[in-house]
Amino acid sequence: MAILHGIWVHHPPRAGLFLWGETWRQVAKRRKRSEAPSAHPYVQEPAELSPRLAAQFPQIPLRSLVPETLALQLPATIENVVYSASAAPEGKPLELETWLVEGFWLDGHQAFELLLGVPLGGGDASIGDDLRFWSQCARWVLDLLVRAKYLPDLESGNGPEIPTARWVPLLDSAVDQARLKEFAARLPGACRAATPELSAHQILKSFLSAMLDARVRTLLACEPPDSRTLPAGAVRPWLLALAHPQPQLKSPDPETPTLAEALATWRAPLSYQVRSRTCFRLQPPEQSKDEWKLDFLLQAGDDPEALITAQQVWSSTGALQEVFLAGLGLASRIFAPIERGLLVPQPTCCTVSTVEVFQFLKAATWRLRDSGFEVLLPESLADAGSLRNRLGLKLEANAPGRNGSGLGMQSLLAFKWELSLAGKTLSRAEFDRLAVSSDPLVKIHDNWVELRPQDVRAARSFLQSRKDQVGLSLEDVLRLNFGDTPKIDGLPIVNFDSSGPIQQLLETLTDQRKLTPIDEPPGFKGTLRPYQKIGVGWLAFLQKWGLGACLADDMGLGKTVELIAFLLFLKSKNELDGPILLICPTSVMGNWEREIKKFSPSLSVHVHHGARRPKGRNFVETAQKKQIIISSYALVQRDSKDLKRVEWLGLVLDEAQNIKNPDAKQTQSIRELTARFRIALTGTPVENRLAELWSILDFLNPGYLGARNFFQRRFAVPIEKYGDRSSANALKALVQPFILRRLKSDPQIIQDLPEKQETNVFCPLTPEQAALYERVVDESLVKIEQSSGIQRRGTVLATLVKLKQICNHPSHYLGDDGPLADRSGKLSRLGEMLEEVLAEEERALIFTQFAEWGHLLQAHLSRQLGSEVFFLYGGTSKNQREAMIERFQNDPQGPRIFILSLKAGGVGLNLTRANHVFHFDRWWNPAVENQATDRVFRIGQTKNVQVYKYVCTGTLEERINALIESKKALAEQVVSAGENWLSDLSTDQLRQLLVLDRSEIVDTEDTA
Amino acid sequence: MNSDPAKASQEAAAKVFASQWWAQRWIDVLESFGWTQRLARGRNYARGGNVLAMEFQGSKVKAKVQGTAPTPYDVTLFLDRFSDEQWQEVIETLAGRAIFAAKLLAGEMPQNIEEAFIASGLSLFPFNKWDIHSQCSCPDSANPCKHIAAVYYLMGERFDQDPFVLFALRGRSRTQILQRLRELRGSGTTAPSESAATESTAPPVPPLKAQGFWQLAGDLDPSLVAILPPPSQETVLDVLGPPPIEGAEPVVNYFKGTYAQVRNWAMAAALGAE
Repeated sequence: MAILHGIWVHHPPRAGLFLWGETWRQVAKRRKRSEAPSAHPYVQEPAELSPRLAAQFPQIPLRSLVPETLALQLPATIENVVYSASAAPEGKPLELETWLVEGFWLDGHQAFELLLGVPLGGGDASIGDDLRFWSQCARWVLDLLVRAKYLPDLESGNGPEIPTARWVPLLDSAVDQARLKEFAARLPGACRAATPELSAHQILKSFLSAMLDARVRTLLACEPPDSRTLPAGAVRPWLLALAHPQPQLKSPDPETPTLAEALATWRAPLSYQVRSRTCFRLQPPEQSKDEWKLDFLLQAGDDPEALITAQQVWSSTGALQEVFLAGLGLASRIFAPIERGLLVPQPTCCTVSTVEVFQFLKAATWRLRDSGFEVLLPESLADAGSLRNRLGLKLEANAPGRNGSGLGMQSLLAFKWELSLAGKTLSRAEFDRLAVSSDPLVKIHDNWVELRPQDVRAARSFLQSRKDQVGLSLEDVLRLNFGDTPKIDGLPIVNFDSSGPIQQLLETLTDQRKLTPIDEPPGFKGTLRPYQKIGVGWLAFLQKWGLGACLADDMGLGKTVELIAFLLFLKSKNELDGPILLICPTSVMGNWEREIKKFSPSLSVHVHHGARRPKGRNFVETAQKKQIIISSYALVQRDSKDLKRVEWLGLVLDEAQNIKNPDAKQTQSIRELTARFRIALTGTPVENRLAELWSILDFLNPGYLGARNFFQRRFAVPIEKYGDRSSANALKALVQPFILRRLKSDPQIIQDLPEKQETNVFCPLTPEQAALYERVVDESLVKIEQSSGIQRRGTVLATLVKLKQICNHPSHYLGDDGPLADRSGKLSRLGEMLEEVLAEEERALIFTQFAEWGHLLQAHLSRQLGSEVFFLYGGTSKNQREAMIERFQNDPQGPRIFILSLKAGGVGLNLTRANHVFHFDRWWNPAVENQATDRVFRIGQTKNVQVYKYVCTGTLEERINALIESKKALAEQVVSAGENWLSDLSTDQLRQLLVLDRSEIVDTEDTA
Repeated sequence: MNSDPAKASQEAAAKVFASQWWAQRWIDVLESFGWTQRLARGRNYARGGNVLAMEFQGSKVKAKVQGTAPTPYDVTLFLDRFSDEQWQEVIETLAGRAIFAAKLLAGEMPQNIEEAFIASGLSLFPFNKWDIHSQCSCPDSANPCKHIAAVYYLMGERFDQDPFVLFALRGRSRTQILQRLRELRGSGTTAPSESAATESTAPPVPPLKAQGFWQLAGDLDPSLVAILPPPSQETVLDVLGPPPIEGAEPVVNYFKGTYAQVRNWAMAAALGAE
């Protein structure tokens, strides 16, 4: 995947955004640094860059662009220039050298359009940080345009130069000065690579000026002013040039220099307030109620804390006095009462009435700040919108009667309340006194605060209802605690004090360390790792409070085991008093059944699928008899009526990302089911996929994250589009209590995990596979019975190959070129698991013994996953092979999935960047499989390795797998003999081994 | 200048010689003297572009006006200068109220500037026709002739651009007045250079470093995430007032429309609904 870079180039008279692509490839190392600039070895060919740009930024007319070359200063080691996404090489000193890159120039307007289309949040590795930085700056330009922080300017030019008319940004406000500083400090070195002689400030200013000018100009050029309506003389060509693609004045008037001078005089007052700014400090009245003071001060520009009093200004010498006076003169236009203070020779302040103060707060403060002045307000007025200065309710928790048990999200908890204003408790009498006066500003306990009429009204009606206590749902309490601000009868809750069990709940929800881990419950066959005990404790804790839980541990950490232990724990406490419905993808139903039987044989399970599944009253009876019902997402919708008839104790969704689309019928059917607790299991990093997050959380705790369009507006758009950290943090705080996600890489987890973990993945056959399988078995057994000797042996082995092909995929056996999706249980499961691998940003190897299947798989996976997939087999040339291995191991953004044929890739290679190994079909030879696994599990591997062995249930694969696992000794024999031992079996023995167990077929197509 | 006479007269009719109150005041004072006919002719001359050059030399204005003769006439015009003592008194009055210096520095003529002069028994604006002295090289013996009147009007335009020209005609430049005010405040004699505002000495450009070259630290400034419309529709145009140029009003109106158009576009773009 190529990385798109963009660099703002300021080479007057030319300025623009230079775009180039960087793509990883194997390059030769140098012996020494070169003297002359050389071509950058990783540059993407413009011919490849162009279609990528066209696809990503359709709004930019790229056809007219011609590739050009630009010299950049880039860091290089002695060996070569460093690929931008690679970590800094250790022990090899970096130096800047000149490299030539090929790319495209965009002019100001095109650049602005493109930058607005770049996603602002991180996460898209195909966008370089340099380009991302400029896109953030473009957003600043947008803000300047919205706030009208720019002016038309005229440069009359010296001598022969043609005068130019431009729109120039005004960065005089404190906000923009702070931004300038912050942006300059964050500017990546890469943004200066074309013009290292310019400072971060200079290049930023060049960018802002050019972008702003280009944007305003382009907008006006769509509808240029009618020159007949413009005044004659020097003004007309100036105005026309301001609205023309070219800034040069056409036929400038001889008076142009005079106009330029007049404009400079006009603008001059603004330029005073840049280095130090005049500052206004509002002081509440000391005694008489209606006499506020507005102090005049001067703030040194570089240090916002350094305030100079008016007296100090007047006793100073130098230019400060005039900056101060000019500031006062300009500010008096914005807030007229300032003039009153200027009638003395050395003004220090002016007096203002309460009404004027209110106007000052509402209108003037913002405008003064926006015009480069500073305004200091008393703390209680500074943040008038914030809760701490508002009228509202102060709540104190009453201990609930029960210890949490049996509560739900909507259960009401009782709270004592008090009225509060600006953090101070307000008695009824005090409120009445304040409520009578119509003053917008009131004094309470020595603090002046703004009293909003709507708050007063809300408080009045609240008081009239004369409640002694207020009820707050558990959901409201959680929201409050995690930063949301619910209201009661329109009155904001400004303070909240919890105690007792509620406090305990809140503390445990925020801090897992306060959880009680749960040991293996009685009847559990196996051991729980320490983090799994915490996981079980967490599920039990949320269930007790009636809260839905999302267990999102990394793939391989054992979510299945944690859930089984939790259910067994409920049983041990006699709380498993109703059936659990477990919904999962069709491909893992068999796996669940096997895992439950393996870890807790005492739980009764019913797998609800197939044409002969119970219906209607039969189903209800079955459900009541069993403790766990396993069904699939596909069936939920079809059998929705039956499923709704059961009062479920618990509803568990495995691979819960399946309900990511809230509009899907399947999702809606699931949401209609009633259950006393809900659990979602997922291995994808759900907190980063906001649509999915909302859908899952809304299933678990309906309404908690608000309606979908609210969520979209409040969180999804700011976070996904603009990378807004504060919204992301707020969301994280809200959802964190309900999501438990441990990563394999967590230091605490890693020590609990074995370095290599092998798992059997049981997959069902689809009906198509089953039919083929049975036909081949029947035909072959007849042939085998009729033959003997070498012929019989050949037939047995051929049968084996055919059955393996069918287990892989019908197309593999049939050699057809039909679509692959949904026709093989193994392939469906592989797709699901690979998505998790990719979501965890890890890498995987897939081994198959069939090259023809590898080809099919490669084409299918790269399409399904939308990313490049490698395939190495006997026919791969040596060069290709080396290039693939090099890229897989070293390209920072290289393919993450590598398919290898067991014969060509099973030995000798070092592919330690992967830590997942899939054995898609089996050789039945642990030594061969282990050798393949060791491509990953060897020196250089830094992660825990996960090995998945795929097995089709009900087929010879499952039987041989069981044979190998149960009888190690026999297995050894088997191993030594390869697959030949099969041909020595009698026909009856073969039949037992091969014949299909029909009950394992998952019938997704069955509509009966 | 204009080949189309109809268009020229249309433009001339739109030509207003004063937009700021002080410049308007100058015109009002002149017109109150009652030389109606001659002023009207002069106004036509001024509109027709007959004043070929106009130059302020200290307290004098020298102009060349194209009359009926082939060579343009020389016009000289000046007001009575105030004496040093008179100026001393006026400036002391100005220094008594910071609002005068504050408004003058902010590019505005204080509304009550006349009060400072009246206090010293003076008038900034000419009080009667004998206050204005003028000469013209034309054969017309009447004063003001139409050439002089044309210059009057153009001076109004000039005042619009720079209120300090009025002071200069009375004998003090802007620099001199501000300097004297500065002395009276006791803040020494240093004039604030224009560079007090801009970066006076640019710091040396830090060399580009190879370390951390490609990485952007931190996220987007949260205040740039949700770009909100400003709480008021007023802009920098309102803070600065109309620019000191002839016929500022249509220009300001054009800019106001422009700013509104740009703001609407930018808001839509910020919301992603371009």
